[in-house]
Amino acid sequence: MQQWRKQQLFALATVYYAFLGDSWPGSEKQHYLSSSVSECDWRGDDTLQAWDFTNQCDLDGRFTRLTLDYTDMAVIGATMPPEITLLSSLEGLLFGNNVGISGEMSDMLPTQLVDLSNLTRLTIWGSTFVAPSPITWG
Amino acid sequence: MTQLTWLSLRWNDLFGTILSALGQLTNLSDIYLYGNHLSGTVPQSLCQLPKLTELWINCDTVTCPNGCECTCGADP
Repeated sequence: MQQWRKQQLFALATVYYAFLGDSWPGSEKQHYLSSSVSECDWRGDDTLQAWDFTNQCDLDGRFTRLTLDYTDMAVIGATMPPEITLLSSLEGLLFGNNVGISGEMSDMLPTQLVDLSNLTRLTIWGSTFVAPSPITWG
Repeated sequence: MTQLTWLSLRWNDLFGTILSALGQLTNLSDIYLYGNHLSGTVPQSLCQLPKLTELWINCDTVTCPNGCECTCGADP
């Protein structure tokens, strides 16, 4: 397995556990961490086809869009793992409607996000943060 | 992250003022900040972003400076 693929799987697993993936509803969890389904199809056959609502890979299988939306995760003080920056081809990142997610915005936007040089779209909505966004833009 | 063109942080209960440092992301064209509890004035650095086409704020709590093109978004 290529190095980038190992890192991709590792990053996705950290995201899954950071947001208590085992407690997600089935529609959101769909195939997550399955060894028999490509990670590009984890939640890939969701009925929601809109741009914002699915994960996406490029032709090589590198993640270009990571979406966690319409979950009912009820995670208090959830922290975005800095390992997310291992998804170096990421162009879009969307965390939405995460009812009950609260905490520091700086935890949701780790400083390392600055290293995602291909990121063009960033959306976080419907969450609750206790602090303004102390983002350090590189 | 300097390639960012789209930044949407709507409906997150954010408060405080809008960071002028956002103006360093010079490729930004779409900024959605409404549905929060932000206050103060939109920093000139945002208004002057060369590619800006959409800048949505809560006009009842955030002031849009003269010459800056803001759109008023609604609370959820």
